[in-house]
Amino acid sequence: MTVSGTQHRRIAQAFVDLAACGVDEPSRLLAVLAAHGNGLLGDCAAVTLYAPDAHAPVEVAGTGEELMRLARAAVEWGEGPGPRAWHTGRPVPDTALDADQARCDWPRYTARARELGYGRVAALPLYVGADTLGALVLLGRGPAPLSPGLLELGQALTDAAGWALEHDRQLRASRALADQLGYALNSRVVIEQAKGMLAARLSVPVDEAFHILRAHARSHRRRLAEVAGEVVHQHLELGRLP
Amino acid sequence: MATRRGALDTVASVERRAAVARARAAHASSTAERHTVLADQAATEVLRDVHTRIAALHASTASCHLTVARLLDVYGGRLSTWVSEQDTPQPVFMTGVAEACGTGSAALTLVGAAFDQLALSASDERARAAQELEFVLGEGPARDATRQRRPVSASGPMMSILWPGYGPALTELGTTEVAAVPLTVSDICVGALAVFDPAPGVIGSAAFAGLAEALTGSMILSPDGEPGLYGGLDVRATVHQAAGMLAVQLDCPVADALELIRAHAFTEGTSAQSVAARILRGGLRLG
Repeated sequence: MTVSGTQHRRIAQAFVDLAACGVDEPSRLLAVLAAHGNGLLGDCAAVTLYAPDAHAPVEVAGTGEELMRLARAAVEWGEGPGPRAWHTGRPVPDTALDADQARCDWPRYTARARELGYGRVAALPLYVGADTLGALVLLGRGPAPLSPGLLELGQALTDAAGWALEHDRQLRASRALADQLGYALNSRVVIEQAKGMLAARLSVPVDEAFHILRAHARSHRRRLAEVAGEVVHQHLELGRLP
Repeated sequence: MATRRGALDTVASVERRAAVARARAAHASSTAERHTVLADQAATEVLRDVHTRIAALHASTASCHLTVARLLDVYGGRLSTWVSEQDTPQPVFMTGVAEACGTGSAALTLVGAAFDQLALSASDERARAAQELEFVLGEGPARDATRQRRPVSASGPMMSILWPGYGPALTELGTTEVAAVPLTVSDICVGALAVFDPAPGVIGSAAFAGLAEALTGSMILSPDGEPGLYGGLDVRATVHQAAGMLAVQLDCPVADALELIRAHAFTEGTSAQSVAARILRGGLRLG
């Protein structure tokens, strides 16, 4: 790939922008990826597909409403280079949209893309951790093939975005687990405190105090820690077991 | 996990977890390798830089998972040996952590949102006694590492300068050097890992910091981790029971009762555990 000085600066800027997006805004990250794909990769048009998990709707970002409509339709039909790269986890190489194979594999997609004036297409998988959660689709006007250098650059951009998304995913999971751990440990502390309080109030051994707490929680279908918390804050008075 | 039969289930779970950690390490490694190759082939300086950075990040993830897999291997091995042996103390996960830190003595402290010590796990009696001192005195390396989110270390007289209560008491226990690193993932801090009299070169080493990072990311805050450290995590149950009991006896908030237990332990020069045990037996009334 031959790269001019201007292009070089644009590539650098693309990565800086991707990194600066922060990890809390996956949709902006994808928009930046698509926008840079668009600007960087010659006359290419770029569009990103991203589905954070199996239940979430697919997020589509790109420059141009027509292109995004095509991308959404492709996901709906389950055909075209984007869904293929996404579902197989492998890049779809530069393909002529009027080639027999493409028209046979993706009849609706190729027809619509050609109507919009595109002649070539390629798609690069978006790897997030061990999963493939989307793709970057590049479309070229006219019959000239998309160059290997361009696809390499596209994959590097996509990998950078994928890494940011993975980092974000891990961070969210860690935060949730830290909260759960704090809650679990606090609950155990409060349960021990409640055992001690009940034991003192009712003059019973600590083990029996625990049975009283558990019996109340069970018969009222409540969490043990919740009941214990009310005992500790003196919102609940419990008596001895019959 | 009181019985040897129960320990066999734990061995199986330890082995499963080690396999998962290894698979994750392998995946991260292969991604790192892919980016290293791409960096070598990159057509531009910027592209090479990006691939090199992505490779480094994945390599660090791989190393975290591998570290934890090795700790699990050691623990699983000891546990399965223990099952067939008679009259030996049950192995604790933290022993392997201490060894990996180049010491026989390490303690892990987990804190709550207000930096209150919620639980601890110690490799041995010395580490436990040191954590007990921090709990009673409210000062020490684990506390500082957690609050300041940075590694903390001191040796000899410096320990007493940094921690006027904790330092001399630790020296009395025969420890001459201590270091602690926070257990952090990004901006989340769940506690600290402290080591006592580590081998030369451990303090400030990448291996020590890496171990804390691996424990946090792959053991404590991992969806397939084990934050309970296989039953090795102690929430100081008796101390909190005694605080509850004392709160009723003195008609005061339970937090005040806990402070009173700490203060009494400090004055007596004993552990909060021993004060609590006496309160629970009815042999000690405070206030």
